[in-house]
Amino acid sequence: MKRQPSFVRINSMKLCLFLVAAILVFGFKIETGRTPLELKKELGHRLFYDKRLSENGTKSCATCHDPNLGFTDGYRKSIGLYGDETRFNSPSVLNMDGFLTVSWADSALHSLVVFLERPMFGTTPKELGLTKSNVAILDSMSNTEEYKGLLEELGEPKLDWATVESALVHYISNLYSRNSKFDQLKEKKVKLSKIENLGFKIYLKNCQRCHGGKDFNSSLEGGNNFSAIFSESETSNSTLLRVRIPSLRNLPITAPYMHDGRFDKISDCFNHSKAKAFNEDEKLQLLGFLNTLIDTSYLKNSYYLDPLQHYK
Amino acid sequence: MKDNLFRTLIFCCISVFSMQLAFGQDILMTKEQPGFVQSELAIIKDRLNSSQPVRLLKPTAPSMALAEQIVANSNQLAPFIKDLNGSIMRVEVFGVFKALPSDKSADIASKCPDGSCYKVELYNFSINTAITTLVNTQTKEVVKMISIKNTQPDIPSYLKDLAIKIAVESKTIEKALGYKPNSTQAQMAGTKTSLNKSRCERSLHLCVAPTFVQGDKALWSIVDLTEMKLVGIRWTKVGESEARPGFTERKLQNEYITNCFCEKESKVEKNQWKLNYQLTSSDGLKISKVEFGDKKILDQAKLVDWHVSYSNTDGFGYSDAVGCPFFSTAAVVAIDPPEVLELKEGNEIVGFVLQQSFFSEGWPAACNYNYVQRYEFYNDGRFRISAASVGRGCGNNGTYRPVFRIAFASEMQQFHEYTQSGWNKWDSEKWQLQNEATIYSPEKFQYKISLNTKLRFGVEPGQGQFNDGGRGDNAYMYVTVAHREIDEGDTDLMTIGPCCNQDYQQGPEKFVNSEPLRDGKLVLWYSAMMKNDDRPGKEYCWAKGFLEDGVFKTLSFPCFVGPMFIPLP
Repeated sequence: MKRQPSFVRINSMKLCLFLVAAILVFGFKIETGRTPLELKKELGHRLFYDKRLSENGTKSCATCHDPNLGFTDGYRKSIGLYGDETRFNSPSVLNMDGFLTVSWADSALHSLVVFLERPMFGTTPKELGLTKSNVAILDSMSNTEEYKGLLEELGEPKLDWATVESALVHYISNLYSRNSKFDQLKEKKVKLSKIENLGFKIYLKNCQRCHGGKDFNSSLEGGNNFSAIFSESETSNSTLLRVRIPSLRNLPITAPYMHDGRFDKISDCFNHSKAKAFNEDEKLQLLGFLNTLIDTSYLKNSYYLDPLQHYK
Repeated sequence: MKDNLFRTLIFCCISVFSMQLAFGQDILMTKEQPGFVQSELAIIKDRLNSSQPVRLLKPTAPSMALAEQIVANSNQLAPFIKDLNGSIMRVEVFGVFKALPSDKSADIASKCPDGSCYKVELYNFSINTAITTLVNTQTKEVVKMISIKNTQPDIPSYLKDLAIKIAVESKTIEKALGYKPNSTQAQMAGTKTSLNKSRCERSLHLCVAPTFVQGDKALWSIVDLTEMKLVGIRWTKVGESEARPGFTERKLQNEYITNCFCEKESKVEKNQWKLNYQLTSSDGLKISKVEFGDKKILDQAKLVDWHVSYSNTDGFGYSDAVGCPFFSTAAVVAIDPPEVLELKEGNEIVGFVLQQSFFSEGWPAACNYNYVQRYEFYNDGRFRISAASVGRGCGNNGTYRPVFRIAFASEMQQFHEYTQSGWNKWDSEKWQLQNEATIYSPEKFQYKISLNTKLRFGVEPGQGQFNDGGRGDNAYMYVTVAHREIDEGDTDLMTIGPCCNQDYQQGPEKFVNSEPLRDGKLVLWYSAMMKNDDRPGKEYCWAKGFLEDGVFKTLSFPCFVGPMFIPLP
């Protein structure tokens, strides 16, 4: 192996000394200041982005829930571990506390822990391809730098499936995106433009009935998250099902749309309820308003980003 | 607690040192590397320690061998061989080709006459930089050298073979497929790729993806050729319809196409239009000296890249080029000559079309590509620069991004964008995206360009209005200053952008640096975006095969994109 030039070695030594100093000064504060809840969120944060948590090491939760795409994946329907299409479009996992239910088509499913079992252990198709009996994956992860110290702090000897699920739930439940221009309007920090205002009026008249509430996902009539009946897919013989009303937050970065990703454009969705056919001006105005619901400020917060983002 | 701190410290230090090793391009051999990789690394190490550290391709033709020797020993290449500290960098010759007219700018043509002019492409692995040179073997001079950072030439066959071997010999691939594949099963092994969260991300390393089609799926083996290892595997679904290759016999035409359309320019004079056209090494069909009436309209227009992404979150796919069947490493090549066709609206002939198709050999089978380039010239002075993917590609969830380069003739050009407050003049180099919220002028223009010849054109991006099946361009428009002294794509450009960026970073941004436009000569770069679809009734950028009366046929669903330029009074 070629020796490093001397200046590189000196710089490396300086960097290490700096790290020693930084850890000695700040390390204890950071380590001792974390509550068990924070530690669990941190564990969930690492697990969410860790591809080792899949049968062949190629997918993590973040593969289908990417922060750059509003925690979705840009596919019409998500792709499983082996290239198979899943049943539904990847829903955002932001603002989960704003949903009464956690899946697209199961109105009785309220528990995120129960829901997590589908991508983790489901087989139709395999998403992460995990099996409960395969604890070897967890054993090997437990002994890595990313987890060993954290588990010790949590008082856990090693990862088990219950710990994994609980940590992921703690992480996911604390992902928020409610700092859009429209949110700031309430605090009188900003004003809507003329087009945005006109779009807001169109929304109030035509969209709010189903896309109401603080996350624009609640039916004002039934007070629930479930909408009218949709065909499961676009084929003529597809089954009918009730689907969850999606949030209108972050639409421009979460295409394609609907539970099966059938629409590529936001404007394609406008007429799905058949309540009103919008003209071109109205479409632009409504798009203008919907753009005020974008909030990607979370991308500046390391809690939302990949903590393992080093090249392997 | 102290143990934790100590471990963290050691971990940080190890990380720092290993990053230095990796970025410093140290040649590191480990026991885990297979023998053939160790042999390859030993060759590189020997070369780096030799008096002439550039690895040569050693072509059999003596004139080509001389061309690469001239470059390797030239003073111009010296800064790319040693870094500022005098350390030797890893530089390899990737291609030696007879220079085509499209490789030479007007000022170079006399210094590099046909017969003794060669194009030599090199790649510096250490600083991820492509270097293109033109060499006159008579005068033994390097007459031109261009380097572009974070860009990679198409790879030579020995690296393609190495990539396939790394994939085929990999236990990971064998486990994933359930059997050990042989090298003939690997497709698209020479086409560059990337993969997020690896050193292949955004093509920081030279990476390719030998792909194995198995039933209705394709297994991608992403091979990092800078570090010579498999860095990841991914599965895509390639669709369920049957599709058999049907174009192999057309290879017979390669020589005819090269002689007639790559090595010389052709002309069209029709109605009031006059233009030259020529197939390039890797920029598709180029048109140049385009005039309408007596007015010069375009210096040139061409199709620089095709970027194909199969994952929005993992960022893998292909960075493709289209071009001549010979003297090029383009992955998808012309196997038919260009065509001049009538342009009809209803039954009325309203102009003519110059059209060129590019095929992978096995199209329409999975993991093969078919692209079409169309230039439409209307009798009323309108023209459109367009292209389509005709599928089928390596997945049913792909995103295609062609990159056009359009250089208008004449000095003193001005570029305007339509906004809420009316027409807004651009004062410096920049880019803009066409999306759902884009506001168009009442005539449907997003931009307009003015030439000093008193000509003005409205620029109408595709929104599905052109009756060619296109569903909208969703395009990035970049405007850059055309420099006389710097070649920013006047001659043939290698693939300038990585396959899979989701944002404005499609390649042309390399030439956007906020330089004032100063009413000078401009270059427009137009990168559209199409998402393929295999859903019945919604097919787009797709092709499928079917049997009719016992005969195999292909049904294709092209996705055309490209702007219309409309003369303004």
